[in-house]
Amino acid sequence: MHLTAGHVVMAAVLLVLGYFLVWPVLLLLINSFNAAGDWFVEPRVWGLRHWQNAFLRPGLLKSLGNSLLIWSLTVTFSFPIGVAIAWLLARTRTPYSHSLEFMFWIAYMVPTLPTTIAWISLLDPDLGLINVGLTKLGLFAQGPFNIFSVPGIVWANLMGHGIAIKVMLLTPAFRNMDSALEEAARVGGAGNLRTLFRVTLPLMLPPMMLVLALQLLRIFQSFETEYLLGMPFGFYVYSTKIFALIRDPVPNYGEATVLASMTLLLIALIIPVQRWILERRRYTTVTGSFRPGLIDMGRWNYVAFGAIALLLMLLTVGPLCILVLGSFMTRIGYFMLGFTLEHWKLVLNDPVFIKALDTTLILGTTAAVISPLLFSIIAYILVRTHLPGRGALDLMVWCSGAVPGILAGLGLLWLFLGTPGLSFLFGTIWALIIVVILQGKTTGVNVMKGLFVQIGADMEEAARVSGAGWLRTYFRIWLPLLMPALMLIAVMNFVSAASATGSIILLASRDTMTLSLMALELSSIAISNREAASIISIFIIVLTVTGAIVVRALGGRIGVRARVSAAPDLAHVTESTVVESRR
Amino acid sequence: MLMMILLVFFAAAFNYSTIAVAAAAEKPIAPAKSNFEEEWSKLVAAARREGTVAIASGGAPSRQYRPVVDVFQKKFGVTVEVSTGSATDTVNRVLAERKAGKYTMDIALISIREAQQRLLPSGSLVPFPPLLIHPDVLDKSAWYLGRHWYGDKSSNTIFIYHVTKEDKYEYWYNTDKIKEPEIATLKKQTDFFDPRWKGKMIGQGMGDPSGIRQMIDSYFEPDRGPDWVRTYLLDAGLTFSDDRRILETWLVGGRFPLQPVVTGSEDLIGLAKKGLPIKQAFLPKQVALIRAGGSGCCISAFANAPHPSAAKLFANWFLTKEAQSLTHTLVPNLDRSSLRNDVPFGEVPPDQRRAPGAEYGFPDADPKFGARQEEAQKWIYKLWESRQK
Repeated sequence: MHLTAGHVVMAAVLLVLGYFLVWPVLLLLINSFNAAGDWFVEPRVWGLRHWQNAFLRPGLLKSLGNSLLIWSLTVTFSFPIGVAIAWLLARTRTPYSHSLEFMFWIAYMVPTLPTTIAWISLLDPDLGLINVGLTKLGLFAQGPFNIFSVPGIVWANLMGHGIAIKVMLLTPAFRNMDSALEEAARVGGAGNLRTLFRVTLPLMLPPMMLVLALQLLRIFQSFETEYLLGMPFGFYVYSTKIFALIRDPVPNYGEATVLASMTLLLIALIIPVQRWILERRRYTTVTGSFRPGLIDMGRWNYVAFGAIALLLMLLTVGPLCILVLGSFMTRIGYFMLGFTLEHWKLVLNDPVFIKALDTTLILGTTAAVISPLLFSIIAYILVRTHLPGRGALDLMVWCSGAVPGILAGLGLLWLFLGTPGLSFLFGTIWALIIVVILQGKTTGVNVMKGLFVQIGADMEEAARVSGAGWLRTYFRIWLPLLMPALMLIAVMNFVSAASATGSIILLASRDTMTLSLMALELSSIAISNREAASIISIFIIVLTVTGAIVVRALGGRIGVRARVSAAPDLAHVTESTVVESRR
Repeated sequence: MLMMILLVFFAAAFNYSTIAVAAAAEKPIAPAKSNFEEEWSKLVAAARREGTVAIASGGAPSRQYRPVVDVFQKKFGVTVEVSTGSATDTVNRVLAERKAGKYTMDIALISIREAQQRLLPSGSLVPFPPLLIHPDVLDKSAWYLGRHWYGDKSSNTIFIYHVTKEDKYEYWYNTDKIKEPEIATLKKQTDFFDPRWKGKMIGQGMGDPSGIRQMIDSYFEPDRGPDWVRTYLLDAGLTFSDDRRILETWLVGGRFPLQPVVTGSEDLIGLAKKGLPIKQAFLPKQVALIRAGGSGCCISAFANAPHPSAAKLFANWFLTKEAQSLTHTLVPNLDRSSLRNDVPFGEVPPDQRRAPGAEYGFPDADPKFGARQEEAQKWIYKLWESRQK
């Protein structure tokens, strides 16, 4: 076989990513056969004890069923709603669609805990403001809503990230829909709805499948809402079991790894299905003659705007009010106790705060800049090249997302401590930087894959014909074309870096404390200062929103779309860009 | 003599063996003053050269002791780095580091449970007495019952300096929902299991370290015991949550108006003082105890400490009358008090102040208690998990 530069790049990518992404997971899996009760204390004894005990845990099957129930109910509602909103924002003339899209980003930036707390304050069966209001109005004898129930958990999930994440991931893909295809359908006599179901949605199948697959990966990982709302009525999900094992007085990482490894089975299903969908037909929507035309729904544009704005009120206003108001309340939820600045003083005078802010900014910015570039290159390799080893690379990206952050943190701790060349990074900010850059890879790479599938090869070929090399083509053609998705991933990675806890808790020291770890400490059972933790969350949101505004502004300048309206023929833009760059 | 008889009675009445404390009282050691001063100044100089002392801690104490630690920094010019987050995470990290040959910590301000179950078996800790040189600390007459107290099997590694006092059972109720005559019917621990309270009570879940601690303590107490624990967890119709704020809201709002077992009630006391309809009540306890729980009770020293002199300086200073007094005055709402007898109570709440000369059962200082606690802990977790079937 002829060895090319591509092969060398592929080998390097496989080696580096394999080491940082797969090796920690493998370390955990290998150690799950270490039958010692406490991995840190007892000598290593190989055996199947953890595998046997894990599956004998009482109520395991029931918790598995509960996880499936919550997941399927959440997806049943959130997926169609997410697809519909993404379509409305990207394909129709809904007013202020870009601002509305940005609001979904903000909804995503609000941490899960304040959202859940906000909904408890509103829908607690006896004390929730909505229930109390309805009973006081005489409409009901007792509060009709109960947040501590299965519908309550599903509702809290939908109002958390359930809908927001889908809109965020799908809107850029819908924006890449070539209006010429929709116009052709209309010329053929199809109405807007028929066009949507017969043309738009089938072409959007890859990104939709990817979003669904990414959600499936979370089935055994999301637990915060289920834990908080489920325990009072004895409802436990699979992820609660994993969390409880890790939080045992002597952490049972062995059994937790065994239970978490079930996600690998899901991945074994996801990858072939995804391949089958991607390979059975072409989904190219962005070519040299791409035209991003929008559908005018007349007055329905305003109805759509109203409905989306109303949903956004629910997604953002409640949690943000609780966060801001709560930070000034003597105690969240007790208006009669009055307001105070004490919590703000506590946080702002904390000697760790400035250091944590600094570390968070460094981590967030680095992740926002490097991750999108890195993920786009990986996605390019996976979709646009025929290099050997792509299957292994895809598998790596998926498998590394199989374990929850709190377990992955242990694998990473071992990785940094056990590698002679890396152990000097342990305890420094560099270890955290590596972790946060890579932690959004499953979502990031797959979103980029979805876009590469949509974009035709003609523009890249045009650039090559014009004499551009790979790097120049990448920076002058691909980057502007991918800019909306890159911005999205930059923001998502900023959020995940700024709010990372489980994956970095064992790697961070007092010197590399982050805002998220500070919030975790303040809201812990022992300290229980939820008001001060709210203030930290506010800072994280402000940082992220500022970052997102900057990213959008920069993206708007670099992106190709600004120029598309002036020159609707993308092939023309491509050629002129390359010629310009050669000068 | 009367004390001795009382102690024997307690030991018999109690499920675990209370230590024959009076018999164990040891004579104070008085080192030569000039020798000490020379040694001390050498130690301070060496500690300054090392520049830092790294303390592994967790939970609330890692924050609570910050003002005390600041005094140490200013006084000796040695930086103190206190780890943060949960004690379990801290211990995980420290143990993984040590397995990899990295020694980053000098001192542990960690609970007996973490130290006994994890740090000691891994050989991470060293005997504590050889570190002690300060006459103020070595003078055992200044300490409760004239001796130093340790929380490990060999009574020489996990030094206990702070304890909580438990001479009655505390419970809380909502005064709007439960009236005094009903409360008056609660006279003993099993009264909470009367069917009329079913569905009206809340409890801390076992994911809350205090929740499991309460149940382990209850397991050994003559007023409660294993059967009581089983009923409480499985049959009494309690609603559990690991989130104390949710429990608090339910109690204040009256959704669940009775909380039969409570720890860390400072917040509830604060809310009651501000006029919210909740009230603290007590039931008698057969045996008055002092307990060493959480990361704020104990100090131990790491083997292969990177800053041995700074560690020794901190360990000695932290146990002096000066530093222990600071823990009483600089830490607000401290839910425990020093085992030193010569320290003013300062900000320590009245119910946490040991009566002068009084003696208490002290199970955590019983060398055999740790193993029994571990057994009880496993049993309780099994019960807890069986709720999830």
